[in-house]
Amino acid sequence: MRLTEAPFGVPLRLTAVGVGDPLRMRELGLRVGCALEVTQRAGFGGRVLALGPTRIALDHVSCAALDVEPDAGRPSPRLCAEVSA
Amino acid sequence: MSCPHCPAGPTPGTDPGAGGAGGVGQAVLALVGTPNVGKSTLFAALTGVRATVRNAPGTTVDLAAGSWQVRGAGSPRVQLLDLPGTYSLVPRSPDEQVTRDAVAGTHRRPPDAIVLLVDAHEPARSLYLAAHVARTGLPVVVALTLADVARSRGAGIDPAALEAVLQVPVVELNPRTGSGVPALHRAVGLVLTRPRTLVGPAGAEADWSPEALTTSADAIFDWVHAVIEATAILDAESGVESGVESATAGGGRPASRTPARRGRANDAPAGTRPVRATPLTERLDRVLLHPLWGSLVALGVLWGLFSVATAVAAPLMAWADALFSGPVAVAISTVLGWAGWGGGWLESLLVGGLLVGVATVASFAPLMGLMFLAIAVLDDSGYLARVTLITDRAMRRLGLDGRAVLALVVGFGCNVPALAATKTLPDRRQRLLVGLLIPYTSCAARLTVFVLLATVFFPGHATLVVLVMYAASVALVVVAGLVLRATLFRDVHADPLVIVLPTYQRPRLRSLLGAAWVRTWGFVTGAGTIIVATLVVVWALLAIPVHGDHPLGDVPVQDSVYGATAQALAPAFAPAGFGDWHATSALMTGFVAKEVVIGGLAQSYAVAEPDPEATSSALGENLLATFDRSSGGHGQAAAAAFMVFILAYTPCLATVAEQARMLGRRTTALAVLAQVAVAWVLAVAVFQVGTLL
Repeated sequence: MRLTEAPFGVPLRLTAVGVGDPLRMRELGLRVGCALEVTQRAGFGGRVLALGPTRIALDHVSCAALDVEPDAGRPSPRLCAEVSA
Repeated sequence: MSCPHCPAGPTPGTDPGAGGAGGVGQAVLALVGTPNVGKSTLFAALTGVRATVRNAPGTTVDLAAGSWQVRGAGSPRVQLLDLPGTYSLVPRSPDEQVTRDAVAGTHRRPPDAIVLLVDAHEPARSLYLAAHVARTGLPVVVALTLADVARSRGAGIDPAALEAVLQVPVVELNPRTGSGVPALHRAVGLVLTRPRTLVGPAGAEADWSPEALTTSADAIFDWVHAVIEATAILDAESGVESGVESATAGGGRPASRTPARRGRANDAPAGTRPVRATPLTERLDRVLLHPLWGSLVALGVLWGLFSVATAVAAPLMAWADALFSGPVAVAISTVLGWAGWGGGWLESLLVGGLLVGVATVASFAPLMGLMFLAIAVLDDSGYLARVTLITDRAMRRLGLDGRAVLALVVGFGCNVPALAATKTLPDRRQRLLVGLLIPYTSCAARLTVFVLLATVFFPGHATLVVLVMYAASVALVVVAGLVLRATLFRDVHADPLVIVLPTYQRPRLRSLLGAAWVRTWGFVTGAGTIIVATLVVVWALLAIPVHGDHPLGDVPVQDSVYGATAQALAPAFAPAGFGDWHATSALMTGFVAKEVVIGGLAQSYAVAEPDPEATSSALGENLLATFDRSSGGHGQAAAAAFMVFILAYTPCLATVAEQARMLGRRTTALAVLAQVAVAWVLAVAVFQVGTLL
């Protein structure tokens, strides 16, 4: 499914990246097969993804170019409590 | 026994023939790291205000360089470079190219050592960059940052384990608090005397060309994963496999075996599973990234920036101007009087020329300082990335990055700090494009001219006329942006937005104040030189008589070179309906500063400036007569054309000087010519159409 159609707070796996420089996307953490979770909307049509400790925001154009599938066998990678903030 | 990781050759910084950018024998160190890892904070902590900001060679990318006294091991004073953040040494932007060029020594000698900042909270990206740095063969010290953030989430990197893997000194430090900096001093002192190079992926070639690095990407990702496996600190709660996979987000294959634990961040009782609260950053983003609430907050922040550029800075600017035009001017006149040189052209030059220039620069300095500080606070807090997302969709229609909205909004207060705000844009071409659009934002100084002319020529509709001028300003920005993108900036397009969101942090005002001071001083010495020199030239034009028997420095405007120039230029504006030397002299004055256009007009008529509260004035009557005469009875159309010209031509000397400093003199000169040409065409069009109505 397109990332724009993915539910929030559900473990997902990235299956296709159709935007941007492929190597730069991998350098940022968006590689095919990686585990992620959509945590919230971002602005107008964008999404915020959690990839482990990393949070990446994408605009609506990028979201429409990423494909994901549910990763039922993995627990939700929740972030730790932030004490210092 | 020689160190296998020590490069051959002389010890860096001690070869008297080395010289180079750091001075004879002075070592050069470069801070390298991914964005938002703490480079600029560490740079400010190490150099204080002993730094300068200049364009990197051949570019308009800011490069900060400062002096750092390394304590211990000979106490060398080194030159420290704060390089732009980059994810790899395969550059995808002009800023990343600057970093690669600096490391490669393309325009200056390469650094003697690199301080590589590694993010302990999200190490994968930093270690990927480390693999690239390893191939350069340069001596390295690793500074492990954001360890406090990592520990708060039950994760992190063991510095000792990382040092064993990378074979270079690893220092855990917090640039914001200063902890770990003494250890950094010792590590850098050690590496400068006994260089050690970073050990990267096994079998890696020394070739770090973009092609070689791209080809080796898979091997590098595998190496990154292995390093994190060997060095990650994982707590009992997060679990081994998910913790490693989390830490290697962006790395290679998932963990194939259980890594050895290095320690526990939390000592939770066996069998319990502590409830983890949603991080504050996530909670804040639910509001700040919300389409409605986030937009309202963003508008509030933009309004705050606008207020800084106008209401907050205004009293400081007035105080600075009053200081130089008051006590300092009196002091100079008094001293000259004592020396017997008072009352002549020398006093006129020093007080009316040089001091006016210094006062202008001094009055802008607080404004620039406040704007640099405000932008730095937004950036350091992590909020700037959020503004980008909120405004991205609107700015995308102009092909601009979302952060361009900050610069454009500030421009409606004052164009000079708006140019400073373009620093937030990540791409050099975007900064250049927005830097060329900023002059079309109608600053507060132009408002004074609009109000006068609207009141005189359109009584009863003055407010509407002023609003139309602001709408015209917005239209100009949009149209100019579209035209530039279709012609000179075809390569600029709004790439799909993918950004790593930094954690929100409390801004450290002390280090930000130091950084703002350095940038403000850069404005004073850079743009300030141009401003002072130009105002001295203007004084000379006003002081040299062309007609009549006037002493040098005491010449009525119309009898001076300035006045003669205005009279010579006047016919060029006849098609626009204001071909009169009073109008052109006001435009020449307006090139220096829009605030003095009204004063310049009044001076040309030898009348007093009008009281803003008065409904009529001698100046107003003179303007009505002049524009009616020059336009053949179409005074209102001529006034409208004059206002359009004021809107569209060069904003002021300070803006032009700052543009020259940021964008280069050639680009600025061409931009000025283009602005004048466009303004003339628009003014002529407005007048010609107006005469038909």
